[in-house]
Amino acid sequence: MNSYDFYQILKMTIKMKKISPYISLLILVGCLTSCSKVLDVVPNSEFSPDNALTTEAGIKALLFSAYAEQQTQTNSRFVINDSEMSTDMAFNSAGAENAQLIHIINFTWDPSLGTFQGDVWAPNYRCIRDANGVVENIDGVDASDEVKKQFLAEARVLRAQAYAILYNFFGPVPLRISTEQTGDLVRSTDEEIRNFIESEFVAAIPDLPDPGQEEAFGRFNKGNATGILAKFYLNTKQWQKAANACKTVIDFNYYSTTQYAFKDLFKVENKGINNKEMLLVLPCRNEEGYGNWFMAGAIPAGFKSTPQLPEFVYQASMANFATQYRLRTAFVNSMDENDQRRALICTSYVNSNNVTVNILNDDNARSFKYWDNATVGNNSGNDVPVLRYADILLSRAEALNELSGPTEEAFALINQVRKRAGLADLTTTNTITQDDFRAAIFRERGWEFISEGKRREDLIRQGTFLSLAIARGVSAGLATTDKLLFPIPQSEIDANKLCVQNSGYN
Amino acid sequence: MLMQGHRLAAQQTTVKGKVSDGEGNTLVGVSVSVKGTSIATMTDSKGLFSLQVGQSTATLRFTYVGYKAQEVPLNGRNNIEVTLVSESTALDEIVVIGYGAVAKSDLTGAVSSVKADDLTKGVNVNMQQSLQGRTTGVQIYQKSGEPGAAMSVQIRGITSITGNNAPLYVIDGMPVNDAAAIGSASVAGTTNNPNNRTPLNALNPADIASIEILKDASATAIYGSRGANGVVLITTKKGKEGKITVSYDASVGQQQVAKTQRYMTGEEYTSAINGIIEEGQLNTSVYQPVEGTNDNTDWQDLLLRDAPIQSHDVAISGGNNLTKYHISAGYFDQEGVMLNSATTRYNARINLETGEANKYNVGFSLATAYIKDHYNANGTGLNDNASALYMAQNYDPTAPPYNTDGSYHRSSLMSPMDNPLAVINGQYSLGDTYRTFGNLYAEYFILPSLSAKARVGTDINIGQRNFWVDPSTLAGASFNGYADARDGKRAYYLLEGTLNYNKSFGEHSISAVVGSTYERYTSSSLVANSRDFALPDLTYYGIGTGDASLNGVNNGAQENRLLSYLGRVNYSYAGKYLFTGSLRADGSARFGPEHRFGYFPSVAVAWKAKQEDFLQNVSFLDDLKLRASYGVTGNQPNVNYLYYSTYASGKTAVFDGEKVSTIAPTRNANAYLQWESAHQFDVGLDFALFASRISGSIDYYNRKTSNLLYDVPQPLSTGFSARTENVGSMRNTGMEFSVNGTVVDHQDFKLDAGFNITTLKNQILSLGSVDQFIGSGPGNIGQYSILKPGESMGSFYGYVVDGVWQEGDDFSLAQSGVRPGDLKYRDLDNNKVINADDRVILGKSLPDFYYGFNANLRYKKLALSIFFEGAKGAKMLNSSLVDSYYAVDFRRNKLAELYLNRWTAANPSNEYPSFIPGDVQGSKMVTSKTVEDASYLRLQSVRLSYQLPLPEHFFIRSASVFVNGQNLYTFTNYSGVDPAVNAIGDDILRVDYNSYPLTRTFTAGVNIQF
Repeated sequence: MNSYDFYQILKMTIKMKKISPYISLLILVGCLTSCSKVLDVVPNSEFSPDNALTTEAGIKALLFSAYAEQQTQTNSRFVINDSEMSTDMAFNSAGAENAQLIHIINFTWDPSLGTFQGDVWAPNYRCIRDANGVVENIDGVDASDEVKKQFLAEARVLRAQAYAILYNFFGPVPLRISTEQTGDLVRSTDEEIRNFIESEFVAAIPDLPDPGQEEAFGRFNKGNATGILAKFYLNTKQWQKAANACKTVIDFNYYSTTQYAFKDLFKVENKGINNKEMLLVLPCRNEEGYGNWFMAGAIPAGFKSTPQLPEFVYQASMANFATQYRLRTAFVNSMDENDQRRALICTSYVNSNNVTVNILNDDNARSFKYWDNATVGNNSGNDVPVLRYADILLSRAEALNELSGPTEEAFALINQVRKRAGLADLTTTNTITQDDFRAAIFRERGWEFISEGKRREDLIRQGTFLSLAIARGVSAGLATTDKLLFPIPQSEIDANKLCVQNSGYN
Repeated sequence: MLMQGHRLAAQQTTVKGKVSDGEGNTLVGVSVSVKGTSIATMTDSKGLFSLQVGQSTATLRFTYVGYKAQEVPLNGRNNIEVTLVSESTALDEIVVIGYGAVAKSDLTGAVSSVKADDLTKGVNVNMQQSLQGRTTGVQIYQKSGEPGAAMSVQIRGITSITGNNAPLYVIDGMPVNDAAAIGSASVAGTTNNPNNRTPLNALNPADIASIEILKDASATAIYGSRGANGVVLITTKKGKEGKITVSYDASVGQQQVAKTQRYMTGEEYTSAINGIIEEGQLNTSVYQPVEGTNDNTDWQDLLLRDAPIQSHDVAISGGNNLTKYHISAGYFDQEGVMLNSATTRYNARINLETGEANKYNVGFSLATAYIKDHYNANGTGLNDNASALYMAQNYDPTAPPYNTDGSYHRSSLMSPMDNPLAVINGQYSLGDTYRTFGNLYAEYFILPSLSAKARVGTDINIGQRNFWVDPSTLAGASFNGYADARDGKRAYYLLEGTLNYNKSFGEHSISAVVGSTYERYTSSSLVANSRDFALPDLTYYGIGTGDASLNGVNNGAQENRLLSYLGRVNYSYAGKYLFTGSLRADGSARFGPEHRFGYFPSVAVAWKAKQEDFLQNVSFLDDLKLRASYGVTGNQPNVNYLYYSTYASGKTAVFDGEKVSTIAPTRNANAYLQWESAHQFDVGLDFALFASRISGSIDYYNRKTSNLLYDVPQPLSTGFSARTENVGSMRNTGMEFSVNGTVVDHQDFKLDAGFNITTLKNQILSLGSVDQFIGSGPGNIGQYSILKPGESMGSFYGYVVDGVWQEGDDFSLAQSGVRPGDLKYRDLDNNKVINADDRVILGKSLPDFYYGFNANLRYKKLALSIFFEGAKGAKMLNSSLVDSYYAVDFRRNKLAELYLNRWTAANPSNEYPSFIPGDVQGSKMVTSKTVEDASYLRLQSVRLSYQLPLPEHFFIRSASVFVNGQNLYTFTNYSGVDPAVNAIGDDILRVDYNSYPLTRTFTAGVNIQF
């Protein structure tokens, strides 16, 4: 249909003034009918799946989307806080974020709490969706077998990692391994999901490059993938497998604890593939959408400077949130006076009125692990560690201790971490029993991984998650074994009729 | 046999005569019959008739559309002259309906018609404002006091959950594309105003001759898929045969802020904050007391001002017996009552028409407008992402606005909020909108009763918007200046062909239309941004001078098409029984190939009971008409391509510290998506009494929408959050009643009054397999609304507050840690924890009824008109209450009423809590305290005008002067800025989120005709 047609109709209609009007009606209607294919409109700014998923560039872009969904830079603070404010480590007050965190602190969280859905469930499942897309379409891609094998391995590891994270928070979840599995789906059994996670890692790791050989920092290699598997083994208490997997990582002789002093590990200038402590990170930039926002919550009200960290030069253009990410006094006091990891903890600061404020007490100390002088607004450029080499060392030490008590190797591993912190070695004279060693491991893990979101899973493994809560004053009626898992997000329960809520959350 | 015999016996007489109206015009086609027989004829083109009657004592009956039927006894005469009296001016009117027009008395559907004279006068930025409260079935509210701000317009309630709920606007026969060329945006993390300025601002209200609101399905079904939310037909002024007339209308006025919320002064703040620290024995390293000098800054006041408003309109119109023209130009300028906001509009229009009755008719209607919009930091958002007004309400009132060196003072305890003045001066944007719309039409009469008409139309809306975040603001400093430039274009093209047939034979009268239309909608956008300017002086004009490595660019292009076939028949019998049937078939490119076409039929019947013999003698009844209609209308999704599975740009990945682009599935496509359809039943009655001194209408409507377009929440484990599906149904029912009366009708003194009221009940009937859906609000409000079968749309979902915990209460019933002075929430499940299970529906944002009342008083040349409008039963969430009850930060300023009357041991209030931080129950945000009743009655306008006495044959034909006041007083219990605002884009739920205050406006002006 175009204007020329219309002109013709008009002309004809005028000519046919004597002819029955029905003819002109037919022409009018008929002409437009013949044009009903005009309703086929193709979206100009979208890719057709037929073209996009058959090229190397297209499938790589989809694989990268799976990575990107895992890289929750800005929301990483919520996952960290969920995992630490429910423990003896951290505390929060004020600000909009406190509306949720107060429930994390008081053990009154329920399935409607947005963080479970927004920060954990949804991004991991979007990663799974795109990883499934790569797994399904890789065969038809026009690329070399080598490339296809590697992409497939990365997709499978991404998917298995996402399931391991979900399992850690929620227990067994619906196991979607194909994009065709839309709609409602039951939760897998415990055995199914554990087997799936393990077998996917095991199958995929051989096709990944060696550590340092990956195309870019942030992608999977044999080292970080094996490390993630090791942590899964550890959290599921498969001690021998955990110990072995950690050994595999150590034996690459690629990672190191001696490269940087502890306080420099997290600096922006030390991030990237050359930092031999970081196996895997959430890569951040001091830019909206990619920033690490932790510092904005950690800086105390009216902060100007702290003599404890003079290198950190605070500027008015750096955000200081109303909400306060705080460290519990007892936890900070449990650290040795000489522990060099204290360098990143602020217990006293000078405020804008030039008054020195002591904040060690009242659970009001602050973790300054992610300070960055180039912070723009909320956004700091410090990567958030997902897996550090110290964790591999401590994990092997823990696994060995569980298998056969505090062995010489176990002592060597923990002392490797303590050495960087400036602490004296543990020995069989001060750490005698398996229980002593286990307690030492968990203390060490606490001090080492402040603001890295490990505390909840560590305490659950240690069996002290609930007892420590009760010791803090949470009522025994709230700190029940049901709380060892977070609830499935209410939105999933509402939309997925086959998905059954965790016990205690109905 | 008897008849036959009678007739044979009778003497045959021929009666001749002439029929005219009161002004000496002959009337053509008047039906003339002999009472009690079937003998009848019609007047010819000269108004003459000739009829064989049985007896010279017979009575003749004359009937004619728009005129009172008249019976004339012959009394032996065989030549008579009859003058028919116009039925009443109201029923005489021609009312525009879709693809045609009918006499108001012949309407079968529910149509409200408002002439220009009946629109609210004053300075109205858009037509919606002038229509507010003027007619039944249409709820209009001004969502904010921002110049050119969006209006919410709903006809007979809510039709759709995620589809469109705004009516279709048709200007001079052309549907207009009522979407902004550039949508709302949050630039550089600054506040976002989801309310676009109304695209209809491009239509100059001064150009409007009449507005018809099509409400029932019989009236709207001819617009098929776009008729479900009602249709607003706007007819612009046309030229009239006769001498050229020139008119000039001007008004100039001043706007004031109608109301602000009262926050604590510096002294009150100091005493309240320090008092709470003392009452709660709080640790002062965490909760810092107010110390130092008190500057008593009224931050809200610093952002507000009195602002001028003015408009000037010139129109020239005239014509001869063939050609008529109307040319107009307009200027409208409104500064906002908040700093740095304004709108300015320049309009021009030409309406030209040439034609000869029953032969041809060609014309065009073309309008163009340039609108310049200044936008300040107004909108929703939290903390540093919030509006200037949010920061002003929350900012420390003891702090000074400026440092001694003149720079903005920033109180470190107010971080991350910025100084409100810095934000209002340093975060702004400038919008330029160029909109041209109009159509050409040509109608050719193949026969006097049959014409073919073609119409070609277009609506081009081109916008540019430039944002600037200045380095003098905190957000701007972090970017070292941030510029963002957006181009947006929306275009609409229409091709339409119709055949019209009009014929009367005997008692039968038919008018019919068939046709087809093809419409194309396109949109495109281009966005560029830049930051880090060595020299920020050029603001957004220097977008090329930022750090090029940080530049961003994006674009998009979309298209939709509609192909339609339509037909309608109006049939009337004996001027008493009216029937209308219509059918439209619409095909939309928004659906998959199998589901594109939807069919939308309707039928209506009307009975003009007054025309029946048995009512002829009921002298007080001048008119009585009963109507009933049923029909189906549709709604398509707001979004294109929902049926299509594709990949598009995904979340950006970071590797080696560098950003890498990705692709991800665009949507969870639904190949089966189809039309949402609304089945509407309407029954109504029109009446006129006592020599038409009282007239009115009553309607009952019942509209059930099924196959609801709904973004059905998907299990997030699929990787998708929602999928647009056709599920569930909802119903809107209600009554409409309007009455207009002339109370006093004297030569020097006349008093008219009118009242209208509409009731509304909305109910969700089903959501398919979904039991309920809980939605989240802006800022940090979190979950606040619920969709649930059996409940109304716009339901608020939250906690009931029963009071405040008092010393001596039984605390074993509370969560451990609850203290005297904490809010006492209703623990529905008695589990001693206040959590999501304790929520109930707190009310709805749709009113039970809304109404308008007007009175016009004229004494000689002085006229006074008063207009009230109101609504009852709607609730609104007041975010200022949320921020005061559940403070984001202890040291922020709060509403004075709450904090000055807070619970203390000495003042055991059951109304307000102690506000001592540490309530273990947490922040509940949405409660019976923060969701308030927003019923109101508003004195919307008062106007006093005076017609100047002019000598005859003076070069000025008429002149009047007036003074006018708008939004003069509001009766309400709502505590926020105004009970009718809405800060969120959604027109279903209502949230007063630091809303731009409404204005009280006083204007004076002149209307002159040459």
